[in-house]
Amino acid sequence: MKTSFSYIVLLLAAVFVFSSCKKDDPIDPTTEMVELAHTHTASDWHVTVYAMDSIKVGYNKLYISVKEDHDTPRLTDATVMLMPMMDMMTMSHSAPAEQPGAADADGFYVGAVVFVMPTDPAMGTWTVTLSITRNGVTESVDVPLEVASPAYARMRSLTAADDSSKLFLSLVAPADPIVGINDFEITAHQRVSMMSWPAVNDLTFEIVPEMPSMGHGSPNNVNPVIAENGHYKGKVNFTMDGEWVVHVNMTRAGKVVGTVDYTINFQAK
Amino acid sequence: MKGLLQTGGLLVCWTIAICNTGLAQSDSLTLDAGQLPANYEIEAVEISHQGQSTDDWMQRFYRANPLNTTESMISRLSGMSLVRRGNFAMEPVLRGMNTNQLQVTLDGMQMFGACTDKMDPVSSYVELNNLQNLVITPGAAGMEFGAGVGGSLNFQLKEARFADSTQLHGSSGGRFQSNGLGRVGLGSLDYASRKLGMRANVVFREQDSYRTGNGETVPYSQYSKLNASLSGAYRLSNAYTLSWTLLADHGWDIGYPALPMDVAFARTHVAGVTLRHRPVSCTTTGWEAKVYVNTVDHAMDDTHRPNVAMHMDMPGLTRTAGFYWQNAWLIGSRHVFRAKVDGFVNRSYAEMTMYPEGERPMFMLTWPDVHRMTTGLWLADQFQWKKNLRVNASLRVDQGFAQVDKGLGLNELRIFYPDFSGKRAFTLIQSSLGLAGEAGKHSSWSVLASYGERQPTVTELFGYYLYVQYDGYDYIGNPNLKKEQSAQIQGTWEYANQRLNVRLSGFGYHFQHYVQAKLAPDYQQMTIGAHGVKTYESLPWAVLAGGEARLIWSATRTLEGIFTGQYSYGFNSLGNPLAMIPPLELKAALNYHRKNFSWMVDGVWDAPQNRVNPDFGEHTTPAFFVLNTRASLALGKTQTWNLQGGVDNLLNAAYYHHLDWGRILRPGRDMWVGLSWKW
Repeated sequence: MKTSFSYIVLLLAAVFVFSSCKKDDPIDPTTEMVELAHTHTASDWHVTVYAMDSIKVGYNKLYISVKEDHDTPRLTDATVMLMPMMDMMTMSHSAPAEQPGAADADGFYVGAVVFVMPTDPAMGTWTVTLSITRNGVTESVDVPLEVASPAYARMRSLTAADDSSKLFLSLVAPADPIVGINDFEITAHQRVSMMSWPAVNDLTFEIVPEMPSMGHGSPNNVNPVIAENGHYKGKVNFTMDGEWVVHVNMTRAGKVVGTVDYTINFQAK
Repeated sequence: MKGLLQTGGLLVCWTIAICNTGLAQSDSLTLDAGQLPANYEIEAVEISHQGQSTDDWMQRFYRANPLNTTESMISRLSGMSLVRRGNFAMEPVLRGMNTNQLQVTLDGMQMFGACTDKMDPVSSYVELNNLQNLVITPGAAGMEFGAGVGGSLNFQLKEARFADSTQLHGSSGGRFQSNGLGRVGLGSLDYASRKLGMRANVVFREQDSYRTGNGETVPYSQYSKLNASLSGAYRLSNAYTLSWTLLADHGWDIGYPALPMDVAFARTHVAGVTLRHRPVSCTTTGWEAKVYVNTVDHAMDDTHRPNVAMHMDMPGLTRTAGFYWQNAWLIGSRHVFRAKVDGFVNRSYAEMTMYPEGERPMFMLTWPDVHRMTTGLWLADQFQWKKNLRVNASLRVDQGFAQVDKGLGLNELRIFYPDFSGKRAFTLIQSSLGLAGEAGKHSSWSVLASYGERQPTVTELFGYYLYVQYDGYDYIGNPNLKKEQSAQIQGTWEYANQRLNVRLSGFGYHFQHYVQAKLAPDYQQMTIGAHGVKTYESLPWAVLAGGEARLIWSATRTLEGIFTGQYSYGFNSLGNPLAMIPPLELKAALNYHRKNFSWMVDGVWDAPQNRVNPDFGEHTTPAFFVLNTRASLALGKTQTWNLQGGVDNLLNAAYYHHLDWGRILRPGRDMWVGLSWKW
């Protein structure tokens, strides 16, 4: 009997796991990350930029490590600021950014950039300028980054119907969708000028997931509400795997702002 | 009549009967295989728990004609009906209770169909040629085979037998039907010796789509199946017997006209080993222990249907392993005390993959890999209180656990039930107290009060977007359902003399937490074309009452008439009728038997059913009348050849039963001939 057999195997496996349980050394978090760039400042601080995946148009978290040498621990006494910039030959513009500031528990300076367009040799390239301050000394370093277009867009822009502002809406979660309840997180930023991209905190969202090939949605979704700094958090439910479209309807002070769609295509097994 | 008189005799001499049969094998007293006569037809005598003899006559008739289907026998038994989704594998219903509420077992083995649409009830894996007996125990008294509220159907398979001198017997037969070109072939081989008995049995059935009484062919009503079994028994000593059963049933290319898809295959494999201690002396105890495993695999198939919105694969499986141990003690001369410990583990898994054009396939679990484990203890005492009065008392306690797959399965259900832990546990208690006795020389009676509980089914608890074609809704289980509880009273009165046997029975069931479909208007259907989503709720209460009447009249030595009627009336706390309750049904049969010739004509009349449940989207059903006739002639000096023929639905009525899905007409006139040979 397969069932009983699997119970026995599980039991034995559990005994084995518990008996062999040892306190392991903490795993180096960078093993799960992608190294995007490695450079040195003027006074030879080693600066490495990581992300969980390669950089794509939309919201990207950047994990910045600063070391005195390549085999010394990550420095945690610095402050890091970043500035994304797209150089388009005739003009340049920035993008929404979240500043790393102080180091986190693992010694990373974690910031984020909403890259609003991909790298295109004919159009322009992205550079993130990191300003690292330590013991009253600030050193800057330029990190060029390659930004690709994702298979399914994770950032949408629109002109708000209520005040004609230019909005940029980036999907943060779900990053790895599952069948079931998923965290749904979206960021909203506004382009005030080429250099000013502040977060927008006064939107009201409604999300409507749909499976276009079957014409059905999913129940019990939680509309995202403002958490902080342009981040809105809710829940989205996928009743099966396959291709879903999440319609995101926005209003502000009772007035329609607009709708953006995200296609989310995933496989459960 | 012999069987009936025998039954009556056993009722009077209860304790003697126990002795004669060796082990008091629960509700049915089965003759020791070693004592059986050498003739081909093995007969069993049964006495159900509350002193009700079930339809021996009909069962014997159908067992003697094993070219018929099991379902055709079930439909003619008192209190029984069938839910029909196709021309194959109908679901048995007892007094309006379907397999959600019934315990359907095979030789006491728990088994579960692998189809989320109930296309493969356990009864579909049994063939008449392999059936020794069907023990029907209505109501919560059927607790020997597990916890339930509707009763139990235990299909007892034929066992290999022993003989003083080595014997080898065989049989084969074939049948041809005009409607749908049905063809049946069967064969069996029996080996018997003092120590060892073996029995092999094969049945093949195939049928094309049938025609209705209107002359129209019902597309997708074909089927093919092969059923094979191999059983054996070995006498370890005078008191100990080891027996085993292997059974395989493979069905393929099975059409389900009332459903949007057919079945590519339905396969079951069963293995069981039984050790039996049957005392030589009557005063010692007798026990029986069994271990078993069975697997059921099932795959639906929409590739033969036109206009399929999206191709889907929907395979399902169940795996069950279990055991039981039961013992009987004769305490003093007046108590027969019986105990049984049983348990099983079951895995039920069903998935669905949809293939949209030009897109990645979509996948979900429809039975979220449910693992169940149930153990139970059953105790029963039958006490000959006075010469004409017996008391039956019994108690059963079960503990059941159910757990869904911790990954995908739990994630799916949490969309609807965010607090669901993935586990459910049920403690189920059953009890009954009955009195049975004789009133005068010819009549007997019984009353029984009982209480039962059942665990909701896998579909009711954990089903996920299971489309039900009957009402066109997707069903989502409710893991918070309470156990369904029922307090019941039933009684019988029977009068029998040389010429006449009259039996009246009545029942009243009161349910608490009655599980019923409920519209979930906030949810959107998954299936393309479905009307919406329904789930299940526990209604505060429901009532089901009714009865059966049977009259057997032996007009002459050669002519016998049987008249039966059955009726159930149910309503729930919302003031609505219960769903899928068969209407008033009257059946009559005349049987003429002389020497080697027998002839039977039987008719069935169903009243219209206008009491329908709106929450299940039921339709009303008009009345119908169907007439069948059949004859058989034994040939040869030793009557080893048997020629049978008949016409089903003689009047070519265009009709359907209230429990038939999709209001699809049943087969019209069907002429058939069969020939069987025994040696």
